[in-house]
Amino acid sequence: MNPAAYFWSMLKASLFSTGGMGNLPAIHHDFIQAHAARPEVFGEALVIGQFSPGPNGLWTVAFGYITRGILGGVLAAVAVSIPPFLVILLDKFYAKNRESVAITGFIRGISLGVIGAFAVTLISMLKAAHPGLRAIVTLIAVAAISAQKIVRVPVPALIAASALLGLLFP
Amino acid sequence: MTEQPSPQQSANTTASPAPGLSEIFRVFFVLGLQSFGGGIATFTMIHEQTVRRLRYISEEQFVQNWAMVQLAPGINLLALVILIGRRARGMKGAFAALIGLMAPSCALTMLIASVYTHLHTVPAAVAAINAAIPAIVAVGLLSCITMLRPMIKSVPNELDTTPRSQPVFACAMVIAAGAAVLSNRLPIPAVLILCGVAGAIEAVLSRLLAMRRSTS
Repeated sequence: MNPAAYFWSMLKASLFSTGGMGNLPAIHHDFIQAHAARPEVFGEALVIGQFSPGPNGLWTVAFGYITRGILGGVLAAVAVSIPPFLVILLDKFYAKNRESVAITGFIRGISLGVIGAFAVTLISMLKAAHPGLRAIVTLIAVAAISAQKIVRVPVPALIAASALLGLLFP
Repeated sequence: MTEQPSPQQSANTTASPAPGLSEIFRVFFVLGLQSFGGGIATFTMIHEQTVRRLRYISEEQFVQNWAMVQLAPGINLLALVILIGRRARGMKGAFAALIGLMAPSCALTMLIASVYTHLHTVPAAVAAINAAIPAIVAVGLLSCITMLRPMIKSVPNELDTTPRSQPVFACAMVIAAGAAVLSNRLPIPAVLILCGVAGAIEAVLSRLLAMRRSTS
């Protein structure tokens, strides 16, 4: 697959999908059909996407790096960065119609739905990690530390401290 | 392309003065370096920095933006970052925020990809990542509460032109959406569109009721 076709495949997949992993089926189809990637690479890239900083959708950057080195990683990064700019058109439409009760209510309804979906995703994520008593204690402790307003502890410090405890007492 | 603040920005009374481009780049660069733990950790840190600490946008705008990015193509968090950057400093702000977040995240992702085959068999690394998950979940659940609060604290009156959800309706919507996602019978975009339709109906009915009350 030449760099232009490589880039177009990534761009097209992101343009016609939503969410970090919505582009997976299209990329999988194109690359497997073109014999441009081994099937196992997709699993590896998804795991790296979970562990690396930034959105999970950056699994495509890991995929790009594994399949085509730094050029592949850069092409993937640019390809996934372009489609989200279309949100500006949506935002402009909303700004023009913000006096409309129905449209404001529609966005508000989606906002409430997003909060519910997000909470459920968080709980599913916790369940997938097979939490024990220590996980529950960590969850409550971190929630308590974050909620209190006496001493503000940065979120990365809390996550790093939890990881360190896991490292010291596996 | 414009550097004019958006109408939402000028309407936002809680936001700080417009930050410089270098500041926006620096803030998102640091986020891109620190946000280990997947999309939820990144989301939580973006919320913490841009709403609670730096006040680039208000809590309500953040939730509105997050709702809007669900409808946009591509990675939701990148669309969110673009909107926040644009609200803070126009299109240049959008590019500064996006490049700031992407540059370190992509570099580190490629670095991890190059050593991953050795890392994934080390039990200590797996233990550390598993131990970090409850912390990410705790902070994320707190974010849910923070996002919900401004949406339920006030209800419409005759003078208020902004429809607000009734607290009972808002909580019911959150629970219904969570249950729908959990049941896995509908794709998430379909659940969110149904929530939007319910929200539109509720807003129109609330307005009609308010108008009827004011005329009687």
